[in-house]
Amino acid sequence: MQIASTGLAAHRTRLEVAGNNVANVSTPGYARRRVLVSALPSVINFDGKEPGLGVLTENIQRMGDRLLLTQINLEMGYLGRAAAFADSATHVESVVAGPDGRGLLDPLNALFDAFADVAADPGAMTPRNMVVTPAEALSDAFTRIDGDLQKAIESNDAELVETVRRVNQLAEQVATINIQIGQAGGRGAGLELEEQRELAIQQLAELCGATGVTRDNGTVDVLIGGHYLVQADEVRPVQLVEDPAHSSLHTVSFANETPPSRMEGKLIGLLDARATTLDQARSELNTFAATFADAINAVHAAGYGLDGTTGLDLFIYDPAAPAATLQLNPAITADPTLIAAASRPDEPANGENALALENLRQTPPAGMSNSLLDTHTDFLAAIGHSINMAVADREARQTVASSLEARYQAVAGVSLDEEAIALESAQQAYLACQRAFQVALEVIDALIATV
Amino acid sequence: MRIGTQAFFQGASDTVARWQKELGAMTEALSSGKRISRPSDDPLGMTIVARSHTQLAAGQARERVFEMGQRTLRAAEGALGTVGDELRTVINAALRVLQPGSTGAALQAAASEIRSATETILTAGNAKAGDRYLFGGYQDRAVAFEKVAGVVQYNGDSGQLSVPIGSNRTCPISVSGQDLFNYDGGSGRAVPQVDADVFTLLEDLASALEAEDIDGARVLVDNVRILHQHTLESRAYLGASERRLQMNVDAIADSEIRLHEVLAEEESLDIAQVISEYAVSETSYQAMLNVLSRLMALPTIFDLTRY
Repeated sequence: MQIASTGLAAHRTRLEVAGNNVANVSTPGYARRRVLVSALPSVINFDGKEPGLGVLTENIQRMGDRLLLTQINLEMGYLGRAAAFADSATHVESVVAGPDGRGLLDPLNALFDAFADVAADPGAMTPRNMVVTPAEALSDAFTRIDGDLQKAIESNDAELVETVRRVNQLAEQVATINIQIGQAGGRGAGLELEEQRELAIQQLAELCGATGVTRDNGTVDVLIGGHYLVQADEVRPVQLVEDPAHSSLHTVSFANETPPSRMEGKLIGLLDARATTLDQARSELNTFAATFADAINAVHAAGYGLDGTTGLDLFIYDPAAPAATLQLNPAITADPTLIAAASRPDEPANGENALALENLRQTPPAGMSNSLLDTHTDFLAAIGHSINMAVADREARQTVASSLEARYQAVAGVSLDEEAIALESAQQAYLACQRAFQVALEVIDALIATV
Repeated sequence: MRIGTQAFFQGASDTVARWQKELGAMTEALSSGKRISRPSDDPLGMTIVARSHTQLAAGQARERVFEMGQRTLRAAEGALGTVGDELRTVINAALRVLQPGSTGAALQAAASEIRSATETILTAGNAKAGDRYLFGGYQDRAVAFEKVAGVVQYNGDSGQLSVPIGSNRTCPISVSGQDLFNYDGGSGRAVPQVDADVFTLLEDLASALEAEDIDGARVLVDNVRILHQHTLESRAYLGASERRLQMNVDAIADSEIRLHEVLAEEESLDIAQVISEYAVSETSYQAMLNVLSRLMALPTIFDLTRY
């Protein structure tokens, strides 16, 4: 009966484990369990033989692969960084290039078309009035793109803040689980807690490139670039500090480094995106706005309006924020006769200066090697190229991460067919043990009846 | 390699997502008709497309300007034709009465005819195209010729109306009245051997005929003949401009064809090719869905056990 009861206990455990595996087939981070059993050591019986004492449930083993998990976490850090960067770069393209992918090219061409019309009939008011509309459309486009880039930078900052909050929250979670596992008696206890902790560390890996190091007592330290984020039950959180380059934005500080030099993950991807795509795009836009206005103004100021006015700028802007402030000179908006179409005073039909303005469409301004439109075209192409590289990097990382995940799932994933076999096997064994127990009872009853 | 249940379904989900992404990209391309909708689609191709569009825009702007220039040229040529015809009329009228035996009445009639022709020439000299006086030089918004105290004054300058035809190149679409009618703008006359403008010359001729100064009239007629030739040369000059302008219009048309070919090559989608690729992808997608649905419908042992 004792032997049969050990079998009942062991096979019942097998039933429970198989049922738990089936129930958690889709649970994120869950690794299938396996029951480890062994025969109880025998003792010599009354017959001088060793029939055995039954079965012992040694342990419930969690089928994971720590090395693969470490590799996955490492790759998730790279993937998180690449994905955050690629997403930002793609957003910059949609902001700068616009829905048609042509950026400022159409409003620029419209302005140069207007200059051509003025050159053809400089004394007429209609073509002069028609300069105002594309000039205003162009300055609106500059302002809109600059504003959208600013919003993208603010959105990047908000995401950074939220990500730091999430990192610290996950770090607290890991520390709490470390305490709970320590209280439960150390390694091997609380498999579900271990899985929650692994999941939290994997999320931390994606967010900040964290890695986990298991101690002998079952707790896991979390490190970022060799510095502790979580040490047993203590959390050393990631800090948000003011970005020295942008007083209204945040950057990340950890282990006395701002930003941390060996951090990976989404956090660094967001900072990379800010520095190399968002800031750069805004800087290039401002440079182009100033260059454009200066080139146009240099030619315009050399010409004469219908009333002989000269030295007037066609566009004005604030050098601190050229793109946001670029606008047609209000004096010209109010009086288009001031448009300096002539190359000499008192010659209403002289359109040579308007011709010189129109020539800036395809001729490099003084001191430049590219025309204004070619400069903007190259800017758009550079954005496209950087996106392709960022997306390729992300996809490469994704492929590696997916491959590692597939290999891990090959070890840890639940197969319903396998669990069905295990359930059937455990059930039949349990029923057999139950029958054996019943037989033993009948034997004892028979012996008692004999007495 | 062992494949768990979740891994199997995740793989199926990833495969479906990949196909949907590919089909979605093709659908987007077909709906826009463009191979390049954003810089990242093809950065190098985008630069070619952008530069082609810029050249097209520049060409179309030029085309509008050329068309305006051609209208102005035709108006100027027409006015010059009138001037030339009237000067020929003057010459014929004068020669008729400068024969021996002409009566005083004939001379008076010829003088009257010359003055009438002068008025017609004055009107032609103030010809306009739209709001522009054709022969006022750069002063195209003011009346070019004005009779003040019986003397026709020129209000314009020596400038020449023109249209841009390229980088720092222009094509004249008119001639200045100063040159055409031989006014002295301070740097001499266009026809130096005639020391008077057309209107002064014609008035002098009419006066000479009225005064029956035959010898004087003969000299003046020779000068009119010289200025008439000058008018014909000016008209020929504008004719050459018109041909030059037309050549530029034709060149732009040729350039547009070439640029459209480049754009068709780089920017436009090969609709036939994409549609056939889409059809193949769609068939493959449906086959994949079919296979997946069969695989997912396969029973597990749970389904087959006898519970």
